[in-house]
Amino acid sequence: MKTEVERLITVIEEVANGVYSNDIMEFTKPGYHQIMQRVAEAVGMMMVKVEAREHRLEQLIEELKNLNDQLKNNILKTVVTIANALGARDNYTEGHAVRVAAYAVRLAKRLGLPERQIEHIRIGAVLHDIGKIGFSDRLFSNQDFRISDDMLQEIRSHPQLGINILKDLDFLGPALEYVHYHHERLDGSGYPCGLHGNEIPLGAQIVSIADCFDAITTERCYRKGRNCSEAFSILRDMSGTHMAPQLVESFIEEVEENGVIDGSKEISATTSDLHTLLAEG
Amino acid sequence: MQVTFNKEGNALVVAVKGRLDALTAPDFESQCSSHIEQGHVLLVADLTELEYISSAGLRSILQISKKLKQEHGQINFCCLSGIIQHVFSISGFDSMFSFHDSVAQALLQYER
Repeated sequence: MKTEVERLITVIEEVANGVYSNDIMEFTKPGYHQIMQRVAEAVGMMMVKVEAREHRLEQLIEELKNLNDQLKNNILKTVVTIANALGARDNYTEGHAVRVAAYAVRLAKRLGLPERQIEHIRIGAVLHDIGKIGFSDRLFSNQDFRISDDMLQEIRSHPQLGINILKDLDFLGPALEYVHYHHERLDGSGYPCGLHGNEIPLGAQIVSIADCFDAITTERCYRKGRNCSEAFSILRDMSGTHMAPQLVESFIEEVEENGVIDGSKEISATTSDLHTLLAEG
Repeated sequence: MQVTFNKEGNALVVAVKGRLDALTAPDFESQCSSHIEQGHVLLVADLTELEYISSAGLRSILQISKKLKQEHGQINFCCLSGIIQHVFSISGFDSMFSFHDSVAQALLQYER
């Protein structure tokens, strides 16, 4: 009897330590003293209760993860829809936003940034030019691209306009800053705030490089798109003054290794293509 | 304890008769497991004739449920007597599974 009690106590201690097994159930079988059977059954019931709760919690966590994924997906769709609103005014901008997002995400991944930050960069990049939706028609229809001072001022207002549009969307988080600061430069010569160096969030610096590269390599109504080596050389000219050298070099390495994004595919991108491209990027 | 298995549409009805305790639970668990391994992953446990369930019986159900989860399957329950319902309730199982008044109703859950 004494040995059996000791064995029972050992098993109860194991249960208390979180080791769940059928050992405790053994003592509920006929042949053991009635008191031992009752103790074992009570502890066994307690153990199963805890185990069931843990199992339920695991299930709930999984359900929450799924819901969170759905939510993220809906956010991305919402963001793409907003970006498409600009695309309705300016074809270039629609394809541009998605390509910039794909380049920015590639650079962010190459730098080993955390998944969450990459998502913010993706969203910030899709929305970076959304402020242009507030531009006057002359900026969209201007073919010769002689820009006056007040037109330049209007162009430079787009990051702030973007923030004015998006500021109430709390879920965008740091992506808002990336929209706000994607035209800032390391030496403080950028706009709208003239931030210097590390004052510019990393995400904004990444979007900025992706933005410049796509602008240089894409054909526009007022000039032809340039090839990669020309674009790399322009980026390197800006390296150190406008952009962080290590980011520029990582970006160039990324494009050299994994190529440019096919422009013709994105210009005619439909919403579903945008989703695919965004997911791939 | 006696267990019988009946295939009904895409589900398998598991009828348990007698006592589910430390003596019988391992056998119940292994019989269910082998059916799950054969691909039956939608189970209806018909507990009409279940007279008693102990912690060991509950644990075997939990293990079966975990196994089903891995196989993207499910188990639901029907026809619980008052005493069995009480044990399910104090163990917290009532919030983890769905319960029905008849086998037919339990099967409906899988037809949707």
